[in-house]
Parts: sequence; C-alpha cells; structure tokens
Amino acid sequence: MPAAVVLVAMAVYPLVVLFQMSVSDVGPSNIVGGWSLVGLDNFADALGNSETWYALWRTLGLCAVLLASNLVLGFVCGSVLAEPGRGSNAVLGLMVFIWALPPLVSGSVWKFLLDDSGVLNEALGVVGVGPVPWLSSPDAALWTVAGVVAWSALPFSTLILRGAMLAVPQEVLEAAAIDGAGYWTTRVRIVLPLLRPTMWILAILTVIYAFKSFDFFYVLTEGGPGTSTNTLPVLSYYTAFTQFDMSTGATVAVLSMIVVAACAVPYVRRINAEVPE
Amino acid sequence: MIAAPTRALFAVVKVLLAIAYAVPLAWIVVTSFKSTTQVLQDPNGIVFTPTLDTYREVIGEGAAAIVTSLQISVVVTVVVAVLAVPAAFAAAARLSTGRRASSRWRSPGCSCCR
Repeated sequence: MPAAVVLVAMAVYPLVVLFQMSVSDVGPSNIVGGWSLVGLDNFADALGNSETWYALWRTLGLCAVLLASNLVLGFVCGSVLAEPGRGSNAVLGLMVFIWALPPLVSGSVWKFLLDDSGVLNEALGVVGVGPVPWLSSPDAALWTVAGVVAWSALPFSTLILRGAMLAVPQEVLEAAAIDGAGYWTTRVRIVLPLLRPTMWILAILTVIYAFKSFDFFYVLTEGGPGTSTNTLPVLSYYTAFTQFDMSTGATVAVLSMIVVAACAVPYVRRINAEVPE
Repeated sequence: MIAAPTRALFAVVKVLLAIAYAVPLAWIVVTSFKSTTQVLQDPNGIVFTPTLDTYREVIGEGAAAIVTSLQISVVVTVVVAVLAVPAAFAAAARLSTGRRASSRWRSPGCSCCR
C-alpha cells in the first residue's frame, strides 16, 4: 500500500500543478511565487485560437496514419513473421532492436536520410525521380514525420499481434483447413475475429501514443516548416518553453490529456474485460 | 499447408521489412566510422577510409555523459523495482478480489484462450 501511495502521489502531483497552471496566468516573471487565478480564460484563449484546432487536426491525422499502419501493416507483418523460420526470427529481432533505440537516435538518422540531399533523395535521383522535399515542404512534412513515427511503432504492434496469433489454438486452424479454408480465408475469417480484443487494445494504445508523440517531431522538424507539423504536444511544448507562455502551454497539455484520458478509460475496461470471471 | 505464391509473398514482405529496418541502422553505423569532414563533403558516400576518431573523441569527451547515463539507469532500475513491485502486488490484490488471482497474470496477447 505505501508503494501505491508513493506511485499515485508522484503521478498525480505534476498533473495537479499542470491543471493549476492551466487556470492561472503564469509567465516567466511569476513562475516562482504567486500565480493569479484567471479561471477558464486560458481555455477560452486556446479554444479560440485557430492554431490549437489546426494542431488537433494534425494530431488526428497522425492518429489515422498510425492506426492504419499499426493495425493493417501490423496484422500483415504479424502474420508473415508468425510463420516459424530463421528469416522470421532475424527480421523480428532487427525490428525489435530498432524499436528499442531511443527515438532521438532513430529520429536523427531519418533526418539525415530524408534530407533534401539525403540518401533517399539520392536513391530516387538514380531512378530518375526528382528530389522530394520530405521535411522542408509544409505540405509533406507532417506525413513524412507520421511515416517515421509509424515506422518506429510498427515493431511493437507486430510483436503484439504476432503473439496473439501464436496463441490461436492449433486445433481451430486445423479444423478450418479440414473444412477447405485456404490460408487467406483462415486469416480473415478465423484469426482476425479471434484477434479482435487484442486489436482494440492496440488501437487504443495507438491513439494514446499519437497524442503523446513528441520526440520525433522535436528531432525532425521542431514543429516546422512554419507551423505545419505542430501537433498538440509539440504546440504545448513550444508555447510553454520558447514563447514562455506557460499557462497556455499547460492548457493545451490539459486538453490533449482529456483526449488521452477518454481513451484510457475504455482501455482499462477492455483489460478488465479480458480477465475471465 | 501454405501455397507457393503465398510463400513467395511472405518472402517479399520479409525482405522489404529487413530493408526498411536494416538500412537506417546500417547508415548510422557506417556514418559513425566517417570523420567530420567526410560527412560534410559526401554525407551519402559508401566508399571512404574508415576512421575510429569519432569513437576516440566520444569516449574521451563524453566520459562524463556516459557516467551520468549509467547513474540514471541504475537509479531508475532501483526506484522502479522498489516501488513498482510492491505496487503491483497491491494492485493485483485489490483488483482481483472475487476473481481467481492467477488469471491476472495473463498478457492481453493471450486473450483468445478464454
């Protein structure tokens, strides 16, 4: 019990301060000392600012890319790598190794690879495609970063879905084979429905991940060019720590926290529903 | 029991995955053996004289950072072990009242064998 108390205290205290900050007027001049309470003014400001809404749409765009990649590609890769063999093991090991790298490291690698004169553009030049401004064009940057985030998240979803697939009882698959179902029919009609609870949990985790994804944006674009890759966490960070408008930053953070909390509730309920009575 | 075309498709997916994940890794390793001037002159070059200078530099100048990282990892491991283990017991004991405690230890991945 004492451990639980300490854990809860450590998790809750910063949230309380964050919330307090979001309803006060805090700048660099009064960060230490008294904060004057301004009620919901910060929320009105943040919600009235079109940049917050743009950031929300960008975050949702990132969510969509991640969901598609994690669930669809994750299912395909999980299926492929669930087949036993040395190749599967090697590829899976490689993917998990990359997944375990700090995002700052894999992010800066991609920053070089995707540079206007980077490896990818040079390779495209060889086949005759002009350099693509992956990170320097405001239109492409968000989707490029989303792609890198998806790349780094794919090993996790593959691992989870592969694990769930391996737990599908062999008899079920054999029964399907005896009934004349081919590989793909079995995948779609038998394995996919059995994986639905796992898929739900993975989807919720993915949304939460999209709403807290910050490090790749920080390394790759710093929210730019212009404001084209400002998602909610990025916007929150730059408002608070480069424009020194701590309370607005805190407000944006509280807003995205509400979304995450809204996703965390079904997650916990799903997890509990998984436990047989 | 998998048809040959499917097998071929599997191989293609595996190769694509291997490329997607191995190339960035290989790139970072290759670049680590280049000197700063080589990186600035020809960042994408594959043919170059490898050097260990950057490693020497990092181990020389970054020793303090390495020590700091070690300190952080040791402290984090200890704190997490000391706090999370009892907390997990507390959570398990509380949440699974009225249920078989052992069922708690299943991973969500094992959801299909209810």
